[in-house]
Amino acid sequence: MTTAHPKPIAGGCLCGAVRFELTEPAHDVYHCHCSIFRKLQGALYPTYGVVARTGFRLMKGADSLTTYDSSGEVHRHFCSTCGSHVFEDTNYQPENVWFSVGTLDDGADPGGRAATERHIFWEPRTGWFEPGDDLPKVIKFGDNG
Amino acid sequence: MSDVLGGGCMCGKVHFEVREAATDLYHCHCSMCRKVHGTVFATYAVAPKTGVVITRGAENLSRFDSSPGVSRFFCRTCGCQIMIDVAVQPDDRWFMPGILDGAVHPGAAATERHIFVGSKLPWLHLDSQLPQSEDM
Repeated sequence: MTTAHPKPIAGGCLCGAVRFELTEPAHDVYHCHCSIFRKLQGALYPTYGVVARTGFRLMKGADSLTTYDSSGEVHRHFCSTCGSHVFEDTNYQPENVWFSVGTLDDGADPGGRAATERHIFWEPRTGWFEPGDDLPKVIKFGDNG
Repeated sequence: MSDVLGGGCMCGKVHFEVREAATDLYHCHCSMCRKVHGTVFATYAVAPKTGVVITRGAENLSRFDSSPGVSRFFCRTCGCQIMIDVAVQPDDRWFMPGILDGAVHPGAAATERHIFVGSKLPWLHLDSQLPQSEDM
């Protein structure tokens, strides 16, 4: 059961070509340490929020997106101008959208963290950096799927 | 530096080598770096420009100037941020430790710190073992 945001949370890429809104909070939030996502975003561990597709609105820039299929079932959309990875779709959960938490304006809280925030694919992580938090560290996706 | 480090993007079209030792290593929490990577912070290492060499796929890089004199390069196929050149430091080049092959350490361990922490996500917990600064 999700609750609509009283006011949508806005986000977008750095150059502003791509903009989106969340009208529902995320129902799953995690920091992913797998090598695929590290190498897609040039980071130690990208952070994703999962939101119902009905709660995600692409407001601007559909024609500015490049799609990269990191597997046959995972479709990653990034801004062709600045390279920011904004969101992804999957074949196995067509009812959901994954968004990059770092693209939310003003460092907004994506919602859903209290029950779900965790570090996933902890095993292949970049071992020299420790986040230093008390969040669960799990193999693969952990208990949430 | 005895070992050459290799790195590259997810799709494999762009590959680079780090042939000289890194001189700086930090985690940046400014809003620009967060947005361009789509992450809760961005991690960069700095090495002499002569020592950070694109070995494959230079023609596949797109350039985005996030501010005057700050040129970011990413793979136009998979969107991975690869490196940054900064006009005021023409002898240096920034690279992303997160895309080094084998997840190896980039070097410059003694300099590792969190920067621009005044802009960090309010809800993000930071490792208190590392130094933190409000600017660089």
